[in-house]
Amino acid sequence: MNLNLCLDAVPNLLNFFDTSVAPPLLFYAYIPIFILSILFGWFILKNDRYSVISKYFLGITFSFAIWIFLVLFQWTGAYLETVQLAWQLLVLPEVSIFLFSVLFTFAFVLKKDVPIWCRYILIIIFLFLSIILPTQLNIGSFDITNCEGVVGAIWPFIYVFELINIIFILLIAIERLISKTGRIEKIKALSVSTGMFIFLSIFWLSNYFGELTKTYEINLIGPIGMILFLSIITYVIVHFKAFNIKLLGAQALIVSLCFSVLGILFINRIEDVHIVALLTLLLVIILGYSLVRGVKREVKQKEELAKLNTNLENVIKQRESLVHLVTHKVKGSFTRTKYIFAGILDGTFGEINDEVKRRATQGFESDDEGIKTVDLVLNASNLQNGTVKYEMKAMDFKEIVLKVLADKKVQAEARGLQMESTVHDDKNDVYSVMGDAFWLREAVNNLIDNAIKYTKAGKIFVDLHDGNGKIVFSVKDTGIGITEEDKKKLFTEGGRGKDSVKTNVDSTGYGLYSVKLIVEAHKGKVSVESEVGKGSTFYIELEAFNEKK
Amino acid sequence: MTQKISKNFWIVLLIFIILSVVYTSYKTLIKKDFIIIEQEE
Repeated sequence: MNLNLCLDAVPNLLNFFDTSVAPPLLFYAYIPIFILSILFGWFILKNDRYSVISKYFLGITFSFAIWIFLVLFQWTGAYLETVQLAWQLLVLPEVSIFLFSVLFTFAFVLKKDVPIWCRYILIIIFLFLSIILPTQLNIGSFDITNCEGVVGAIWPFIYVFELINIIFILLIAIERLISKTGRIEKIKALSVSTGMFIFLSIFWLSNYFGELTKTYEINLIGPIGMILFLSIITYVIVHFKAFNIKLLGAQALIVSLCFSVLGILFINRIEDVHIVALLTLLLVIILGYSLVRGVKREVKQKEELAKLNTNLENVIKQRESLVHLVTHKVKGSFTRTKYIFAGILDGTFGEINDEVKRRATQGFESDDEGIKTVDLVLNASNLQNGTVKYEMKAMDFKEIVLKVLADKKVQAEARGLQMESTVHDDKNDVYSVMGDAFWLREAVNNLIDNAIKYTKAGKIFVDLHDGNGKIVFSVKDTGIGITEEDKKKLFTEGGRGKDSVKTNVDSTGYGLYSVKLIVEAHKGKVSVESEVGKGSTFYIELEAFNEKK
Repeated sequence: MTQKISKNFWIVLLIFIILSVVYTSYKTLIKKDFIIIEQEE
């Protein structure tokens, strides 16, 4: 491609750009803002991908970045064809910035997407711009002496169109101000629309007067409005949690500062450092203030949370002592009446007839059941708050299982259930564990009890075997089974299955929870396999204790 | 009337814009089809 050099141009950068003709502040005004715009747009889209506001925001920042890129080409391009092309293409991002700004303000302030007819207008505008792009309506001719384009007949209309967009943003802000919305919503709407208004006004004025007076240095002021706009957006995000972003304040401040300081490297004259320092100071004040307020609010929230936490701990302690008080009282009452029924049954209060004997037996059994339930809740509560002290010593787990089995077999048969057990006892099998016999018995007892209570008819299989250093105890029933959803809360406090009370009206939801706490205290594992309607198998796995080790 | 403009429609619009940009680039960079004003100092 044979390109012609601009008059007096000497390419000094990448053999393509001539930076000697650029104003001293050009790179400082444009490059950091170019990078900042892209970063901001990308960051917001990444964090809040699905909202239409983020997409419009990306539209603004992306168009702005392209606009800056083309303007940099206009200033520093060394070949007249490339400079001419930059002039021709500029209309696309420039109009896009205004259009996306209106769409963004509309969606953000009025909390709804633009109507369908707006989108059709958008399509028509872009089609029109694409058609006029290569024509003289856009860029009429090229001034070879100054190496710059001469704008065509369409540009006055474009300036008017841009002005209409700015007025439209003002109208959206006014609509929200006079509407009946909350104070915070109004501040949010006002902050964003004011930021947008200032940015577009500065941008428009600098472009228009730059073009009018042919003093293109005025254009350098334009992008500063973008910094103000981005600062206000950051403020709105930090304070009102607009967009789903939490940590923007600090990141924006650091990134902005990095680029502001980086920009100083591009300054040619020492006098311009004052302007740059002033701009950086402005940025730090706005973002820093917003950040400090955000942090203050966060600290306050944390303090409130800590206070609430202390209150909650107190409430839990009070609840525990209440549970203990109530359960002890209830257990006392049950025990007293149980002994009265026992006295009636063994003839302490004299001869009784069969009807009284039948009733007294029912009362005795009911009291016994009541005491067991209270014990279950009390034990779970003690296990949970750590008041249980385990007396760990080497013991035979098989013995515990056999004892419990002997007790429970009678209970199961009384309910018409068959109970089968397999206790593998080969020479090499080890059933010795390091544990507390009382609590392990409680765990085994609870699992078998559970199987009895939830099986209306059928069999219960109990199995104990040594699985390579692990003692595996399992209880299989032909009960109602457990759904996948119920499995998740099965071993939690009060975690009963949805249909459990239909089979077992006394279900407390503390039995399996206690088993889990006990087994985990013995460094073991509890698990369940189940199929609805077919039954469940509960497992306890314990580490075998080998004295030789 | 549907409340959404289909995604394909936006893609077609984008292709149209890109084609326009490519054509403008071709016209300016390769064919050099633009009017040059030479101003005398």
